[in-house]
Amino acid sequence: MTCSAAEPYLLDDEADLPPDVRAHFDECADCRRLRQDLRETQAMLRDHLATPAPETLRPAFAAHLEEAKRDLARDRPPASDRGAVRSIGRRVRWAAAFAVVFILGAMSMVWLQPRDGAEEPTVLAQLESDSPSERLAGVMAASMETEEAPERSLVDALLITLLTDPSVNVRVAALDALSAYGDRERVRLGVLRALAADSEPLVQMAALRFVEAHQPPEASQALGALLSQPDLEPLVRSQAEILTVSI
Amino acid sequence: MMLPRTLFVLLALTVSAALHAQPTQVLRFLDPSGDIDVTAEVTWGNIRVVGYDGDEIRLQVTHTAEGGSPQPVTRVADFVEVRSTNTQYLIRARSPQGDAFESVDLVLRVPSRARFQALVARGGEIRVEGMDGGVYVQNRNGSVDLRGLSGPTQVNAVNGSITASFRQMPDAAMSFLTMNGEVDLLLPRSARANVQLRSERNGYIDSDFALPGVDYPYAEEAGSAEKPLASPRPIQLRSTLNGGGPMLIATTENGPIKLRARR
Repeated sequence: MTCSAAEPYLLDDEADLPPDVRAHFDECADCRRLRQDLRETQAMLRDHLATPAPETLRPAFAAHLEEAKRDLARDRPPASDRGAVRSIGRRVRWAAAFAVVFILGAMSMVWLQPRDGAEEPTVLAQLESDSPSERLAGVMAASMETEEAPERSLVDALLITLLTDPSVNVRVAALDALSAYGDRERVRLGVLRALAADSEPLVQMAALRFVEAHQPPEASQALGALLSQPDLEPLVRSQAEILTVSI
Repeated sequence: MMLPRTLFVLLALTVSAALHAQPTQVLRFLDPSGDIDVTAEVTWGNIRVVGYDGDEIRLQVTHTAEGGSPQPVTRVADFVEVRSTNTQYLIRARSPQGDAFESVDLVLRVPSRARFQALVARGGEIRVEGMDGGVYVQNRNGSVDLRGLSGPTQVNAVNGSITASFRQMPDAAMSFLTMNGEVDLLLPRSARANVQLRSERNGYIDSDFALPGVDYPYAEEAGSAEKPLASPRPIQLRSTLNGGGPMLIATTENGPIKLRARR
């Protein structure tokens, strides 16, 4: 399996990985490192977005839990009554499911509320949208946000978009937006990763422009990987060869 | 006996036309009430799509074997894989078998409100007309010609020009990227957008719209000269149309960019 074939699984949980992808991650140090990096970023974004539950949530949940306990105590069966035990099991599961749904519902209400002075949740939500148009708008908004005040979370979100978005147009827009942060090692490594692994010529050209502009010292390996790709577009090949010589 | 002879000829023509009529496969959505998606993919071949005010997809397929002439396909399932959910259809032409070349052309009539995606993996032309629900197109070798659109649009082509005309300007970010070829956009005169235009090589920007704040020395020449001047260096500019609006990106690595206003 190639690195680019494994790329769609970079953010998947270990248990969900197909065996050949898991084997590739076991063997390939680059992919393992990138996977680790992306998962850390994802966790960081999650933390960044985490919003405390509203004051009313905890007492409401506690009250509901007490009520469920009282119901269970009332219905407690003799130890030998297996059918009733199953019934209690069902009730416990229902109570637990209700609690989870209740918490998620409350959390989502909080989540969806705009926060004062912070546009990021909207931008990040746009970047995760199903619609390519919405994601493109998210990239443009993120690049404008970062122009104002560079936020690591937004830059990382752009990196994740560059490395995982299915739309070529969105990936190119993300790469162009990241060009403003070529002085950051994290950004440079992400773009070089895209250069080495992305098979779309338009993304490759955008990454080569980045390399030309920022001359990252780590570029030669990525350029070598790019030049080893079969069926490389002539314009991409010539540009990569020029940069290989000049860097 | 002129009349019977004429009737015979008409009858013969009708029978002949019926025998040679392109078979049409009708695909229905289980749930056409909400958002619907249609994706068409070929390796080699053309994709032509016309939007219409209806709920079904009408599909015609033509196959061209290596060295042969185009033949209408009667057994669509032999050449095209169709997958669906309640609200989505994926119509994918089979890949060429072994080293032999073959192309599969898809002609579709699609509900104009659908979100339409097209992919030509190796080569062919994509032509889309009258779609309102969004058009997302990718072509490796060949031109992309989009007409009468009013929804969000994103196009990327490697070797081929992009032409797109809009009946209405959608309130959405749009992007048109090609590596070799021009980008030619026909927009309503009142279109509002923030534009980001880049031509890396052999290009010029030709705009019917005023581009405030543009420090591009070739802009006037491009707009007025009979044969616009190609810039000796990359052109990259940001500006606004009619005061600004959603982002409109047009980029070519090799060729001009034209922004034309509808008359």
